Amino acid sequence: MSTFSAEKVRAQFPFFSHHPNIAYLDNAATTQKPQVVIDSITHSYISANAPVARGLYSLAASADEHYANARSTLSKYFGAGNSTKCIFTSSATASINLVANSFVKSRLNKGDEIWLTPLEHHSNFLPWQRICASSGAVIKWIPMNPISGDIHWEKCDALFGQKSKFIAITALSNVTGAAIDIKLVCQRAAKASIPVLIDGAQLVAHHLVEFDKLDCDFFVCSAHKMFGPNGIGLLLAKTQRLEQMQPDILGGGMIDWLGHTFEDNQWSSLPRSFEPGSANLSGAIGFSAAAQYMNQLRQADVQDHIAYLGRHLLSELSNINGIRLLTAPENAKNGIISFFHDTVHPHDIAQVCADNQVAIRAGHHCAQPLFNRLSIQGAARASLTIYNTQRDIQILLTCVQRAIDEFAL
Amino acid sequence: MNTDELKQTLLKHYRQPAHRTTTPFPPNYKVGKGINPACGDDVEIGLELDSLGNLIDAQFRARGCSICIASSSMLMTILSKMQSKPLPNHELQTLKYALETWLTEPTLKLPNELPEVLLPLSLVKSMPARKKCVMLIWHALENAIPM
Repeated sequence: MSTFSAEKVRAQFPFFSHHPNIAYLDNAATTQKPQVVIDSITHSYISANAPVARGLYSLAASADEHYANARSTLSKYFGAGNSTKCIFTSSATASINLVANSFVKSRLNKGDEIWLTPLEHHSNFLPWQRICASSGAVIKWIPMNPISGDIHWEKCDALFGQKSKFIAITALSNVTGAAIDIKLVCQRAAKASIPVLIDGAQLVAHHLVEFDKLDCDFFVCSAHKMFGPNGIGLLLAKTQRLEQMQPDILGGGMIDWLGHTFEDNQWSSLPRSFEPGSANLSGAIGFSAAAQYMNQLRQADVQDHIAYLGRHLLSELSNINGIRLLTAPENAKNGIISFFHDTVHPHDIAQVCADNQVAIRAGHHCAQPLFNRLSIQGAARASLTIYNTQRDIQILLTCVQRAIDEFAL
Repeated sequence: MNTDELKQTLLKHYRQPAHRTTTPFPPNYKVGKGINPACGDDVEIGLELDSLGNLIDAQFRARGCSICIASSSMLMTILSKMQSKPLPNHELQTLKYALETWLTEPTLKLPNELPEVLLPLSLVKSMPARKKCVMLIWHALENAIPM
């Protein structure tokens, strides 16, 4: 029997002590932080703060150990074993840029193809657009239904064809909540020897990831979308792929020996060669604490809770006149519910919500390729997580109705 | 005007905007565009000027929220009072700057240099993220004519 209680979970997040009446439904943008994560960061500054991989004194050695432990915890959490490496970056965005600039760019020739889904966030579009512009390669869109997330496999020959050099896809849309069958994409891409990057920014919020079993080449995510601190993210990559990459951002801590010429430089061993500059120790410790926090939650309970709220919200919204849904019923379980009204602008819906302490997102959600394809200007989005309750849903629905009453033409 | 009256006036500009068009501007119109990257809203202003630079007509096209539409309507009301005269570019620049400044200041009272029609925008002072919605049409104006 489930012992999950959103109210108990909510009590673990000090943010809600300061904002007891807020209905925070913008979790796809960023999540609140539990006390254990905040404590771990505070503790790191109080007792463990020292440069990583630089000092000879005991505190510096201890910082090295904390940093390595955080990496190890996260590697285990994401199911990344010995054949993979876990690189700390500043965000999922930074991780994608790293792969684009250090791995893909030098492999592209004119006419080559990089394949994306129409659901991609700008962070998984712009880096590819840039390297295509400089190489003469082209971006291709995977044939699919962007609302359901179903790939039209019968039209995917070119996706795994000769010209296809890289596939970069989201695991879970930040707009429609559609989950892509990333496992099947990875399997088919592996057979065709096409490297794959999975943007897991939204997936990691509620789903366990087993990187090695997934068998993708690269996986990226950010800590702040899974109850961890801002400013730190991960690149999980097969060692073989990292060994094929050249460092992109250069600086201290990532070089063993500075040569007389650039070609003579000897980069540090993995993973440090891709982590230039001073390490974000507190971020790594906080990220690791967030993974441990998620580990002690029962995944099935978490997913049941979010699925229940998502389905309830979707069902209620579908009963409101003039509301159009971008989230399909089968995807409501993923807790990302996007919608718009025939005549009320999403900003006006979000403003009425804001006036009543309901935090939602409105606009194009950094996913303009999707909105262009759907010929829609923008949408309102409620994104749910473990600390959301029925009350949050109810007050949102009241606000949506109020916005319609006030602004509908 | 009390808050409710200001709100009703703002909503009136949104529901019945002045000089809004849904058709493309004629080719002789000077057109300027404003885009809000945060939400994808876009507005266009179209100005018809005669050979002497006198304003003949001003219209706007918009895909935007209530505040964006209302602010556009207010600017059209201001411009309608400038018809048949050369566009006072410098004065419009001063108005734009005064409006931007006023929106960030706590005082609700409209500065002397700003026309009364803009007063309902005082409601936006408590919504920092919506100031861009107000200014979008003014950016479009700036793009249409050198200010």
